[in-house]
Amino acid sequence: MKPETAAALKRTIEALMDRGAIVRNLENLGERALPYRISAHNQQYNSGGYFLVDFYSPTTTVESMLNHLSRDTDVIRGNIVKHPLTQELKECEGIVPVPLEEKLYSTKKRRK
Amino acid sequence: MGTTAAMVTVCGGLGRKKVTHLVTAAISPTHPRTHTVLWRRGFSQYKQISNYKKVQLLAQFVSPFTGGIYGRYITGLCVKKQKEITKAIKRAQIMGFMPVTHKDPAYLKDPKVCNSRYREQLLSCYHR
Repeated sequence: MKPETAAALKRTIEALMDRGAIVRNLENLGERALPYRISAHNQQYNSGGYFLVDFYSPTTTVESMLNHLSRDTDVIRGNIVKHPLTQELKECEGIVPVPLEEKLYSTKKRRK
Repeated sequence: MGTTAAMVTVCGGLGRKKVTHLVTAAISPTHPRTHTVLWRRGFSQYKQISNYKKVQLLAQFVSPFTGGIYGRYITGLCVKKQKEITKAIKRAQIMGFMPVTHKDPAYLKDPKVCNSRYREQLLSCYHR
């Protein structure tokens, strides 16, 4: 692991904690070639390292965190999303058959 | 406590590492024109959360030539799942997990889940 990436990671996590976030987990998704050439901070990149940070934070810090990430030159593209495991799972009934004969004529009340 | 959030940062680096996922898919034709798609990735269809990292699964619903997302009449999904898949694909593309203008060549040989020959199938009744 390059020392610059380690330093960049440390910077971002410290910035997170400064804004009152509690870091749960840090995952390294590996260094791989980017799917398309990304240009950031007047440079083009073809490969990069992917990292995933789990954290708890108040909702107000999201904006300032995105601002911080956009200013950091070592970060090519930073994103913040809601944690997928907190979303409720809704049961999917599948494709419900719709009676199309009822939809053929409009049931709107027309002014006589 | 506020909302939990997951964040991805991409830093400059070298080297390649492909992440592969195991995907199995099954198509059960119920009606000659429509088919419901159940995809299994170790668990049932309605447990598909946090899709945006599962690029192999998402790439099955994308055209290999243009990289465009297939419509509901081609994929055969219900409205809710189609929306979820679309959102996940867009998210993966913007975050740098999935290519936009084409399908990742490593996933070209995957089992075909979508009815990508829809138009030909419609017109086949007129061919002699």
